[in-house]
Amino acid sequence: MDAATSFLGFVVIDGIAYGMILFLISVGLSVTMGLMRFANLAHGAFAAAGGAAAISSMQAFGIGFLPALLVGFAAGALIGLILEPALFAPLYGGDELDQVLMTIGLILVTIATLNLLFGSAPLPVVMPDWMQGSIDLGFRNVPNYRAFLIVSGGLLMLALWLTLDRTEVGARIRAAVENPSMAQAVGINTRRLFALTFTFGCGLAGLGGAMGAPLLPIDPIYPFRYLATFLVVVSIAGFGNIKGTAWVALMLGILETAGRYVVPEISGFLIYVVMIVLLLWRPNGLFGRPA
Amino acid sequence: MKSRSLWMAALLAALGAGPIHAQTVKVGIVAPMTGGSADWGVQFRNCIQLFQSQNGDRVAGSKVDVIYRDTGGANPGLTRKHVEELIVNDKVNVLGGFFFSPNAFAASPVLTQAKVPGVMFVAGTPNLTETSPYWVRTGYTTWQSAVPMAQWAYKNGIRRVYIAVQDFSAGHSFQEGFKMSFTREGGQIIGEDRMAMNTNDFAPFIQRIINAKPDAVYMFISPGPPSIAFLKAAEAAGLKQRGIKIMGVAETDDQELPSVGPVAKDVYSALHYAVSLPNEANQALVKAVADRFPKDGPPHSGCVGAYDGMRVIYQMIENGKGRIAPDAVESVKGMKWTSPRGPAMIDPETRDIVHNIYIKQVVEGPDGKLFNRVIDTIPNVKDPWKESRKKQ
Repeated sequence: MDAATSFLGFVVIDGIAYGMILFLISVGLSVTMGLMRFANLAHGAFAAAGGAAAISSMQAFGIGFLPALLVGFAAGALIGLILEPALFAPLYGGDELDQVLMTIGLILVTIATLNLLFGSAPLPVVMPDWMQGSIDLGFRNVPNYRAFLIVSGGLLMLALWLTLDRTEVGARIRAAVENPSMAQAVGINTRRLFALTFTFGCGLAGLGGAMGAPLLPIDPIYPFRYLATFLVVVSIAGFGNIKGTAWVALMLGILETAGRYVVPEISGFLIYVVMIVLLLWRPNGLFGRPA
Repeated sequence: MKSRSLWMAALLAALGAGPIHAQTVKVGIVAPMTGGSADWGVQFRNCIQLFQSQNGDRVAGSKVDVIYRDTGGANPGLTRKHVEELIVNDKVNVLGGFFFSPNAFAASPVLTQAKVPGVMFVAGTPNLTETSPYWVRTGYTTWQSAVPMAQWAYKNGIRRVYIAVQDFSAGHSFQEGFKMSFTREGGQIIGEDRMAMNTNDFAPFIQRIINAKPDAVYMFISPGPPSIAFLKAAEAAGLKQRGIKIMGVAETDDQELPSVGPVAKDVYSALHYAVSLPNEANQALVKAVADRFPKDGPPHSGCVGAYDGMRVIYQMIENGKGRIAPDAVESVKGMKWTSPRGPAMIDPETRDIVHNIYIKQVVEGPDGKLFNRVIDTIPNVKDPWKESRKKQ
């Protein structure tokens, strides 16, 4: 096996797998921040809550990894559903600074709560046997977990794209975000639609936290630790574009993986350089439309 | 009501000037009590309480009061403010704690100016003790772990090592200590990576290590999500199956093992403490911690640093006949005691701690649970960083 094949095989496969992780943990934010235009820095709080719920339900009730992912989604969505009318709805369409301050406050509360409930250590994820091994592709092995991420991330991408671009609910959501008063005038209950969309975004956050937990372990600091990562993905993608988020996540995954592999000295800020250049070139993101 | 509060004020003023005030020694503990490293602050507090409950809260007639200040994470500015306020407002006589080295560095000039002793429970940068003559160390130095690990590796047939550390000051310090010692033994460093702090996926670094075909990799990654991600990536890529040994610092300490899980198996590390140490003082400590603080996990180096730190502070008060005397630091130089970590001494030259370093391997116990087995002991290790400079 020559060096070029090994390099490509490694960078492409691990890059895509890492890109899928980025997509899974960011897609919820591309709904709550991207689609709904809410500066939701607390995205990681929902992800951490979902991940913690998934892991502790595995420990407490002995359920498997896949059902636990549903628990993660449900936990994120439930918390979102409760907090939306109380904390988020009053700030819709308001000042971004207020939104930032509120959501940072929410992160701090989440960190303290997780510390109280679970302690400061990362929560252990016990992987099912079928996810432990690896698949032999001939020129290299792909760990099952990474293969699982690639497949499930791809399916989720497709499902979300179909929902938002090809269904009536998707059309209503887009209409309500683009022009709330017009949407209301044609009979769309924007208040309920927003609550539903936000809840769904928080559910996706919880799902992403749970799915990524083996690679990005859940601990109280989670909402801050990965905050820059989520924001970079969503800001490069541009607001309101799930498909864009998917492409950007994959691109960044491959780029970061290649960067760490080839030039580890600069890999820490490579992603930020790319973000700065891209945003200077296209301030609304690669796939975003001007606001 | 008004006259009563006046009375109280007068009474307090009288007491303040009188002998009762002189009979309280205040200890200010600066530590992460919240945030991602809260576990360390909790262990400090637990093991200080334990020490006081076992040894009483009075020394030479003085009551010892402990006050805590939370630094959250690595926050030198806040630490300096806490230290100043503790000394000026709370009138503490001695300081303790300090988990992050940058925080301890920020406290150094204040200690020197106020002539207040400080006892470092964990912060490990070797030259910290040189930044103020008022520092005493009951934790460890980075080189006290890195150098014995390198010597053990060479002694056990490892010749080619790849170093992978996190790209911050502590990581660099472990890297330099290991490299210096291992190359001096005759070994070869065939690759070195400083991994950015914001690395989420370590697979690319693991692949670089595999490509270089070393006998072993030496890592330092602050324990938590990054170290877990690193070890999981190493396991997924089959590092150990390829015969590449993994050596580290505290990534697989006993308290981390439940979070790290089975991928911790067979990881080697070098540190001054292991829960499994058979000595009597340690067995008593492990039992007392399990009885009193069952929810906070087994004692670790943070607990032992605080427990021994209190012993040093008590000795200072004892030597000062009930107070922290101006020569308090001088008076504990050369102090020897039996610590849960084994025999311990405050180095009279450097004010560091001299202690055994244990080479540990994560193995499965008879109960199926992972634990650190001590496979080798390097006795009475002085800080090798200062030793290496002396020779030049």
